[in-house]
Amino acid sequence: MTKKMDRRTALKIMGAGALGIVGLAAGVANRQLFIDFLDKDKQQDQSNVAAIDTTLYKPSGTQLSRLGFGCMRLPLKGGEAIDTELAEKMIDYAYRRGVNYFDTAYMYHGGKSETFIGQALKKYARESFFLVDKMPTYMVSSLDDAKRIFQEQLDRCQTTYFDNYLLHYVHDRNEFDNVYIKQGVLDYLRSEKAAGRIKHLGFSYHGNQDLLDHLVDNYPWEFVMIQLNYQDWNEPDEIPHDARIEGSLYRKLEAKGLPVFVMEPVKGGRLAKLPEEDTRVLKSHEPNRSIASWAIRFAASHKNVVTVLSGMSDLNQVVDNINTMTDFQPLTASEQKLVQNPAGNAGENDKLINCTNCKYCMPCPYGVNIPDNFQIFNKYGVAAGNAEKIKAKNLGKEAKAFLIQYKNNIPKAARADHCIRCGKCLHLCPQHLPIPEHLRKIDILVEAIKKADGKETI
Amino acid sequence: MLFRLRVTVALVFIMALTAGFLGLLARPLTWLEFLPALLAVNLLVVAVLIILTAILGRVYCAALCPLGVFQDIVFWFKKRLRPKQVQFSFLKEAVALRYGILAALFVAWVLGLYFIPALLDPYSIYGRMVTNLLAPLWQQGFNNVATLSSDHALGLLEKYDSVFQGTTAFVVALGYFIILTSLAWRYGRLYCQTICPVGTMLGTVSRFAWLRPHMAADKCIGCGLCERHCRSSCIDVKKHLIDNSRCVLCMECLADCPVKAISYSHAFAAPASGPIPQTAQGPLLSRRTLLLTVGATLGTAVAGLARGENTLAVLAAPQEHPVLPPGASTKQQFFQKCTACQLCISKCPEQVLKPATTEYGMFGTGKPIMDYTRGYCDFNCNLCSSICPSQAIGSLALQAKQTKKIGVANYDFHQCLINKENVVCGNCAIHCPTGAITMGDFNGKKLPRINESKCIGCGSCEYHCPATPKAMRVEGK
Repeated sequence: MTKKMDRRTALKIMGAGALGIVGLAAGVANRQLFIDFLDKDKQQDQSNVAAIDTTLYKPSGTQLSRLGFGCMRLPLKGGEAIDTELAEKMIDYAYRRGVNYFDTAYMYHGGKSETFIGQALKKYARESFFLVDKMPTYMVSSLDDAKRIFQEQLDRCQTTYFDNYLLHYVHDRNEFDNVYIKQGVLDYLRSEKAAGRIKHLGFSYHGNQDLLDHLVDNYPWEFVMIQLNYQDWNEPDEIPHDARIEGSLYRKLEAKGLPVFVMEPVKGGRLAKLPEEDTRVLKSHEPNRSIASWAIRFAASHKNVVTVLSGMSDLNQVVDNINTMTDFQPLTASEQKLVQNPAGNAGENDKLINCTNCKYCMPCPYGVNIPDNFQIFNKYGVAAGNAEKIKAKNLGKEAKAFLIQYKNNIPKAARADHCIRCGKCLHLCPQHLPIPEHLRKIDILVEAIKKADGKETI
Repeated sequence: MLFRLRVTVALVFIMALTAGFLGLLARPLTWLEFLPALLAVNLLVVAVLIILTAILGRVYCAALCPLGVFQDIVFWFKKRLRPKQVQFSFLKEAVALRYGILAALFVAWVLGLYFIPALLDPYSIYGRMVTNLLAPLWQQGFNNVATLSSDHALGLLEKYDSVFQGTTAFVVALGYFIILTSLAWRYGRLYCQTICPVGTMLGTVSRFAWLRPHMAADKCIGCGLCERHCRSSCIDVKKHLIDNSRCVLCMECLADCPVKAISYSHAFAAPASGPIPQTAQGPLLSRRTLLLTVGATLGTAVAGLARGENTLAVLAAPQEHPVLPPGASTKQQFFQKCTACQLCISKCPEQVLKPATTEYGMFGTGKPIMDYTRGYCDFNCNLCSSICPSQAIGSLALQAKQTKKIGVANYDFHQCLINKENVVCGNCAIHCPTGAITMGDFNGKKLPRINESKCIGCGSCEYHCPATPKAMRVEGK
């Protein structure tokens, strides 16, 4: 009897802390599930694993996998550092299925991405994969900087050469002229190519049509990397405006016969989850495919696209993307039309903030978590309605849900009301977003909802 | 029967009160706590509690006082885990100590040392333990669950913003927790029967209570079980006496007695046989002692009042202009009434209120103070003024709160980003809810201008000021 009592007592004592422990444990359990799955996969017979589709990359004559592993959004441990154990197992899983294109950059994960991928790929024969890195244009002010950074990149990646090497984040004519022409960094990179430390030279592009024309008409390149997704794709009959210029950019590159690599095919995850009506239409068309797979297939359906990069941060994305690219089915012309406007109300997307969560704007000197504010707004804030209507005490449940999500996901000191419009983020944004304006808009919306939802008690 | 009833009622009350502190219940039952009601001059509640005690004995201590029930919970664990160590024996009432403490607290209060009664008020001690120890645990746990459940079964849960109230308050609360837990573990309700000022006050009434536990000498077989189990050490089984001024009506003796010799009944109902049992009032506290104590206490109090208030409070050096919560009328009244139960701090949705460390001076430790680095006072919220059980934060309708001036913003150009980094930030102006701050032109420079008549001191400007140290600072009245 006493013994039974004791156990009950013990259970009750534990019950006090149980909530918290359950919370922590469930997060750990999810990760453990991933690791177990990957370990099991490793042990199974590799001979009958279906390999991913490949395309011929003409400059080198190699077959490159249609999917490239981007190393900008690796899984994290405790919110900051890369979860190297899980990330490496994910890389191995992809490699076993034939993914042979791995893309990193100097500042991804605060410089830890290069170190990680170099370490993770060391166990494989160097010629069996493409290792891709980029010159951080925005951090280079002299030729010496470029030389130092390039050497540091080789050291971090523990390699003697990069297969593809890009000028990172080219978007501004003055910056390009100054860094690459005046300082001579482009000539320096060509000399590295002659020395064999760079196999192929290209650039990653975030600018307008004019600058791209200028670059590809006046300089020799072996490939170009651009952003390409169906929401920002303009057909030949649509004049390019704002972000909707990707069709024009691509067509220029195709006309030039340049191989194209694609980044942000899913818009930083935004095209993995569409509004309900759109989801319904796409699901009824292809019940077994994920929403994200449409975006991946759209990007890969263009003739000159070699590899579509995806920055994958969890195992589900890796498996889904690899499945999409295994026995790859390009989108037909009518499917391409469909995905651009599935439910026929594409205009709704105009309210979304065009942020891809690349975090180039971070850290904000005043502590605002810019990408998180935008993600939460896009996910919940658009449905909350506009601040004007909310002022009239028309508080819908969407508005309340937005307020809760906003509070839940963004720590107090990182919320939009701490933006002071200093503008330091503006030139860092590859999407050229008016970040302070958007943050102020979010702040006003939040204030309006809070006011309508007031804690009035008497 | 009575034992079960008592346990049930006690558990319901302590859970409701705790849930109130954790933000799960809009209006916790704090208004019926004795000392806050007394300080709030809530005569109805005080009268009801006293009459209840006069009829039933210390039911307040048995079921309504959260600290009492907390000690019972500790004691319940002891009974389950170390049953053989439950070996109480009758203790003589420490009359001098009990009334000495009560008198000292009263004198201290009259002299302006308002923090001293707050140190021993049972409800406030419990409030501080919940706010500083249980709430952070609960909130963190709840947030973890909310993180996981957001898209799953439980639906969307709103997380708590803050989880920790500061080291000093934490250490103090932890100290209380350790002391009270170990006291309750070893000595049962020692705190209630000897130290607690509320217990002493109500115990004085319950000496003469109408209903009380009685031991029938003719039925008693002298097994001593009741005395060994009495957490108040107030049963003298040899004399068949129960000291009702210390009995907290836990009702355990009624449940335990193998021959049902103890009954809860009318004070003057003569048992079936034998003499009317003598309660402890005669030998333990004579009327003369009682009168003397009361007289001495009142005398000191009057002397103190005559000398003027706050004599000793001057000893501690307070911060120059602390900002008080909106419902506080004057500093004097606020200090007089606040027992630092920290309910307002627990519940403030913007976490502006925090337990003071030395801002109010040494003697204001634990009382709520506005800290605009943690948040700002929401223009559309008057929660704290509606829940304060002692009316230290007086009740204030929302409209009145929105015009109540609790301080005024001061601008320091030298700290402002306009001066330091040449950035026209204007964050203070755009977040001012009353439009008291506008960006004006001064020789071609845009600078914030404060209209002091419009400023209510809500601290939105200070909270939103990006400079360190802040260029906008609110100073209390």
